[in-house]
Amino acid sequence: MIHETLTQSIVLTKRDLYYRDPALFENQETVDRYVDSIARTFGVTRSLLNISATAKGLVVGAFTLQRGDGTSIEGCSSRSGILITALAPEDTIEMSMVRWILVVEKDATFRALVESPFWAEISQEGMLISAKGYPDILTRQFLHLASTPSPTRPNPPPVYGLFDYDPDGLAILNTYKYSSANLQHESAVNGAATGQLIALECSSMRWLGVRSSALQPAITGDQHGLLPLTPRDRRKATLMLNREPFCQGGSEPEWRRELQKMLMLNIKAEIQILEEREGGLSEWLMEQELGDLGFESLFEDEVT
Amino acid sequence: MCFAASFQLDRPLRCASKQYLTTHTIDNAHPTDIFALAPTQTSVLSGSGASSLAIHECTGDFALTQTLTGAHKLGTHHLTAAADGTVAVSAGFGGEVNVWVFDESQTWKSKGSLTEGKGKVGELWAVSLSENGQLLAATAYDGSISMWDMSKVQEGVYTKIREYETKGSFGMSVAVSRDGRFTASGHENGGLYLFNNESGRMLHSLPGLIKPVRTVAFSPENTLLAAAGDSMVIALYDVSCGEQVANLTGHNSWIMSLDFSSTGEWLLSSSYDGKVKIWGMETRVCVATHGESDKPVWCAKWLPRLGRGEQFVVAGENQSISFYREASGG
Repeated sequence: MIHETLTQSIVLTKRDLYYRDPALFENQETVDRYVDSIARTFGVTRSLLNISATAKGLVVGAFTLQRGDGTSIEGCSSRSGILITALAPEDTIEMSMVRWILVVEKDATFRALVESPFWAEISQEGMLISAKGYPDILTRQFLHLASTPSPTRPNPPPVYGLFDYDPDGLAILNTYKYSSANLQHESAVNGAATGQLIALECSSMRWLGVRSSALQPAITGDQHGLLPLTPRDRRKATLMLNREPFCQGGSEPEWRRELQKMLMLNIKAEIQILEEREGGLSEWLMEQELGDLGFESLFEDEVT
Repeated sequence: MCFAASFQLDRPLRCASKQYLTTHTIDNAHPTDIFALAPTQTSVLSGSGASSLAIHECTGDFALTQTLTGAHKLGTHHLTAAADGTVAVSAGFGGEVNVWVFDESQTWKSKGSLTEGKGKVGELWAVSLSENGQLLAATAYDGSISMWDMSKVQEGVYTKIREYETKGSFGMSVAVSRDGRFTASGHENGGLYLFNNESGRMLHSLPGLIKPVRTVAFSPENTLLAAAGDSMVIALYDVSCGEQVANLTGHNSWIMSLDFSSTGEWLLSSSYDGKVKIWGMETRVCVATHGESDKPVWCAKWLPRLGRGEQFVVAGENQSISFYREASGG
């Protein structure tokens, strides 16, 4: 499994490892012990094995997490967010106030947004999630639960994803929306073995950006924030173009176009490029589809 | 100062601007961005983000005459064709370069591919054929420029006759002069090099552009080399001495494509903000600007003259191929 994290450059938490085969590990301590022992054997730190100690996903917003033991956590009790940990089957998320879910690639973007005027939107009608790069299983599980229709939540809020304009950004979007094929396979296999299926995909996720169209001001302007692709970026993009959903006839033709354009222009840009605009990222977000959702949903409520 | 400014503004007017009209537009010629065009005497080959190449007839009704399906699985970004329309070469996002020939049956057929050794860093990128289709130049991500003799094929393997090394910056653009004597390459770091294909030597390392050079073109008589890209300026160099002789300003975005007309009188340029410009080489001023959308025009090429004046073809993100010709009596 650790070999996999390194060859596929994905990050797993110790908790993820445990969940991939609870029957084998029996308890979390076994995993912790083995990971530390492997790290010691190779003489490297644990993070170099792409294993993080704890959950890395953060969530903040207008929801309440009801634990099975009767305790509850307010989603906006702290601007620094709540760490996304394992959900027990009896845990529920009360999120009737949530009109949209925004997933951002970076911790830095997460922190910038909660400290910006956009906090008002988040704390009253939104949910903001970041898993600091490639998402861990717990974050994906949480998002899957929050975005999938269920008897208690027949119309879950729309989910938007905001990632860097680079091959990794699109690969992270792909991981959230479709889940990594290998992991999905494993989770299904393991789920069958232990009697619980772990679904991870967030098929309703809409790609908010960063798209090449948002780079137009920088291209015609001072070109600040535009970086050339590295050899690794180009190789990664080429590999991605070969596979679903980026391949010819695949399910995401727009992703394919953006990836080709990226190679053609040989540029990439971080989410931060949107902060260079007047009004910054929070104003940009309000100009997008999710900015209108608050009003639209209210209007719908009146009609019904 | 005021006089100077008004004097300068006066000049383009006195140079008589030219008028070009759209003669035909092929809507949705490809299902996605069209990145490359290669005209021959009678047709235009086009390549896009989809895997097929399309060939449209361009002397009559602009009909689709052939589709080369599965030409590049990951899409095509560069195309070049010999002037007589017997050989064409396409480069795809997978880093592969394919060769096509127009045979007796009047159809284009695959004739193998050029491959770099496995494990070599960097895909092949830009490609350019000499006028007779015998010499091909291809750039690579590692900055090298390879030359192939297309007439020497042994068991489907083309003969690489030369490799020019540069400073290792991505070779984004390349041009072989019509007679095959020179090769020019433009690079990501702004590098611009001129090579003599007979001696195999670098003639000049041309300064002046510090940003990515996305396109290079030779004038028909090899007197001028034009280069442009992210600096939004078209730099003109004297091929024999390597001196920069002019800067053509007027584009307000990255310049993606350059092409000299067959007589060398006009230079065609296209940019990322959807503009197409025509520059007079005698006066060194812009004589016409076209721009129907703000979507990138990835490629603009002159077509062979057909008695009724100059014509050109453009394509880009709007997925259509548009044909223009000079307005008669203009």
